Amino acid sequence: MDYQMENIRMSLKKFITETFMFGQGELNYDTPLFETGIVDSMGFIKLLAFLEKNCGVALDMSEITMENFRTINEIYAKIGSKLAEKNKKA
Amino acid sequence: MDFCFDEKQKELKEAAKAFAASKLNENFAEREKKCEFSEEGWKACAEFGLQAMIVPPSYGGLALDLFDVVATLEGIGLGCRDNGLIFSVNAHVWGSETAILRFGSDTLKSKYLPGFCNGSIIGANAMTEPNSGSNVYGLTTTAVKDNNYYTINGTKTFVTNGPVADVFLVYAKTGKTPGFSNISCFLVEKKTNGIIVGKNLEKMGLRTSPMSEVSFNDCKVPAENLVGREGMGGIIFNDSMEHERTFILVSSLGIMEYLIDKCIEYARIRKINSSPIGKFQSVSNRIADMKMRLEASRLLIYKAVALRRDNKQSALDSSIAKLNTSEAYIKTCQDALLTYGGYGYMTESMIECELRDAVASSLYSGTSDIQRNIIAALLGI
Repeated sequence: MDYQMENIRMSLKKFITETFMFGQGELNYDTPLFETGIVDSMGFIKLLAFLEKNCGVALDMSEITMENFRTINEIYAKIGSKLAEKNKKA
Repeated sequence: MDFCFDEKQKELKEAAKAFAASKLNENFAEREKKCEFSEEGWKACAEFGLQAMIVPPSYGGLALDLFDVVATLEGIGLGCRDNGLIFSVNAHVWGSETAILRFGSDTLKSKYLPGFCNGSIIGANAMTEPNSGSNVYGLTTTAVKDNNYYTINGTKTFVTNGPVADVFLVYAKTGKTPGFSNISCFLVEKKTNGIIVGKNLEKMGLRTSPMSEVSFNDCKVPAENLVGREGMGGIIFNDSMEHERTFILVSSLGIMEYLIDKCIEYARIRKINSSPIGKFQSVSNRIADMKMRLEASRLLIYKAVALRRDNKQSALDSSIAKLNTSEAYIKTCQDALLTYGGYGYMTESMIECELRDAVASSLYSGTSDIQRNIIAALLGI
């Protein structure tokens, strides 16, 4: 288990629950965030800002598709690959 | 941190100013009255390279550094009085070309970007609908897939470049319900059957930039004209808007600089009781405020551009820059008009025209109210 990555996944879930669901309702790692309306267009921008600030990863919008960004698990995987890429360069 | 242009950028700015002043202002007052788009001006801009600034050479572009783009656009604002034409170029570059460049397939890029760069294709972004306004994702235009085609139905309004466009970037609902993840973006050629382009909408300002309603009635669009993937329209539109908010008011920095220079000159030569009006503090302080607003706007725009150049999130900074600059731009035009007094109110002075053009900046690419909403949301409110 990569604790840094697990922390990222948990903090992402906490951020989404608190910011977009006001602490109400159930959210799991595979809940579709956009289709369910939890995250809207403004939420999407907030989410990108959160990832850059808290995970140290800047995602360009052109790297995102609705297939790799629908759920916490998919975002987590995307962040993982970006961090690996970043560490490889360092 | 360096807040100054380098020598190359200074040269670019001067060259752009000289080009605009000599090639883009002919018969402007007449064209402005008649709401006439300048095809010659458009072609001249393309020859100068304005439409090609951000595109790589492999697709016919110049791939300028983003601060070279800024220097060029500031120079254009300084020299060009046809703000409508520059608005049309900006809409073409940031609203259409950028989306194809960043999200389009290689086939779309190869087929369309060379024409976007050399000016033979005019692009238009078709997002706003008669009943959606600032609620952009509440759109009703639909795109239904049937084998190798999508059939598009719906009506778009306030389409900048609509009457003269060859290609539309159309945002349509591909899911069952409206919403951010159910929208897709399509490149639609004007010659497609079923497109009806409305009449040129007469406006308060930016009158030489044509704008219209565009209707799509059972328009069959090849599936390969989908930009990005299905459901990515929201992301593409957000990205385009961030680019627009960062760059669309760069030319207004040049316009503000032009107006300040004009006011300084007028304050020196216009006399009341044998004293130049610039000697009155009510006039000189107003010009000092104009300069202060220009420099603050410049720094905010440069910061947003630097973030974008470094591939960092620029949503907050581009909204702050856009909001501040649009308000500074309008106030600067009002102050220039006050400095010129009654003469400034006369059409002949062309200052009232600058003010009419400036007002639109608080509306396009997201109104000032929307920019404040974005800023507040990103502050966690």
